[in-house]
Amino acid sequence: MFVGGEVIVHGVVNKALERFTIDTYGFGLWQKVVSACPHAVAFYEAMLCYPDQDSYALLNQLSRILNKPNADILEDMGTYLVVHRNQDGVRRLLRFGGVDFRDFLFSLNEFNARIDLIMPDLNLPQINVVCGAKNQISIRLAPSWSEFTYLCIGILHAMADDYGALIRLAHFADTGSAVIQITLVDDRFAVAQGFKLAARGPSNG
Amino acid sequence: MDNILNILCPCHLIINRAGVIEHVAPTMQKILQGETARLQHVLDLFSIKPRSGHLRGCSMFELDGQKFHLSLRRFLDLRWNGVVLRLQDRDKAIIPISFGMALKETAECFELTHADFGPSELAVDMLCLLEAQSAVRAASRAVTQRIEGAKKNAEIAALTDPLTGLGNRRSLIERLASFARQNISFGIIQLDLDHFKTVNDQLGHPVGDRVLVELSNILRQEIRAHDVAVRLGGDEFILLITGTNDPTELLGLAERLLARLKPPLTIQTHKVQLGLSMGGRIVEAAERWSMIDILQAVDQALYHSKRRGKGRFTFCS
Repeated sequence: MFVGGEVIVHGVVNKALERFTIDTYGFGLWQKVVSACPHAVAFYEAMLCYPDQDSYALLNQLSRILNKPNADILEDMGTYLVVHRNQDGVRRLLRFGGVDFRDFLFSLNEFNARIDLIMPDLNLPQINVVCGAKNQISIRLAPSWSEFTYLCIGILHAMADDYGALIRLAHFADTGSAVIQITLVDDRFAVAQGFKLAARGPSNG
Repeated sequence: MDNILNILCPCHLIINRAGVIEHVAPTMQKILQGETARLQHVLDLFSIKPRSGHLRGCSMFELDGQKFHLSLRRFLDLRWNGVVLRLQDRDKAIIPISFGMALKETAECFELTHADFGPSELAVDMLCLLEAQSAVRAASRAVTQRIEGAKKNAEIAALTDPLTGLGNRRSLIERLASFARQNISFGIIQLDLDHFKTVNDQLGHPVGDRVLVELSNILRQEIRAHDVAVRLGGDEFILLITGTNDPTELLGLAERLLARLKPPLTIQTHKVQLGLSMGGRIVEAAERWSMIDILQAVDQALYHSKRRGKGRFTFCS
């Protein structure tokens, strides 16, 4: 997204990186990351926007400190967003998408429209789900933000576990877009985690 | 046909001309939690509020085509919407039920799932949006609260002298403006330390800073809670004595301060002998005064004290 010629990132992205780092590696490590980035702040506001170099700087420092490639960190973060008890909101919003994993994948066609209703300025890459032969489903991501692919891979793995589905994932680039290819090996491999459409309290079911 | 109806609209009832329930669709069955609704009169299970008038006896069937509100008699606070539609054989009518604004509470109360809604219903999307919206609202509220807190702290910081915690010049201007607005009398004393430069030169600035903090504590102790002590900068301070037009009050305060500074102050390992020079006046509410004039007057009175040999208070009228 562009504001006054500067690329900006919605605060939820930085906030997610902050929460992921603190919940996974502790507050001390996050402080190290922040102090290594000249423009970083200790706590990000999910509802404000920040220059996108900030997000890249944070990610690069985290990668340097953990000695782990950016792609792996983003994949871990995707998993974190679904499975960590501090983040139950994300899992729930995704589970509204469908009764089983296949249903859920199909609902991702509506993902951008849903996000637009909730956070119109978030601007995630356009997602397009294509059902191929038998158990092949591919997700095509518009080329606006290449790191998003790894975040998606983490989320997809975690959601498959949540639905009790067994999947295999592969990804490749195709004419600028990223394509994540999902093979649904068994959609009832394990018992799905519970999900209620309306839950009392902040994190339930 | 029944099966398609159950899939398309899984929350409906079918009644006969007498208003007796002949069929309960799956979601309604789940909501009734095993209670047998079939062959009961619809009004025995539900409280029904038609759009106009009252419902009498068996006239349910007569509502053909009309919308109404309904609630389970056991859950009167869940207000749903229904409509009576006569079926082709004219002896039966279907009542499709939607949960309206009670959707979230209903889904919560009866633990409804995706399967309890029809494939063309927007209920699940609405629940998803409601949940997302409330999360976004909570996040926005949190930002507003944090900004509000930061703003308050910034306001306090903007009016505070960081070294001594007393008010600063900006807070003096605000207080004087508020006295003018409220039209009240007050006393004002300007004071500065004698020999402060010598302390800084001989013992260093950190000791000088400690002296200023000590003096601030003494000022705070000697004024009343609603009076004001301000550090203008350096070793210059101003005291505002609220709501008085009595010069003896200022003289009394000045004497107390001189007495407090008579013995040397102990700063770290140093004994520091200081003195105070002061100038003050009373500002009457009825007087037409300006901030510049008042500050100039007390500054001149202070200067007078200095010239007459320091360690004293000069009152100007």
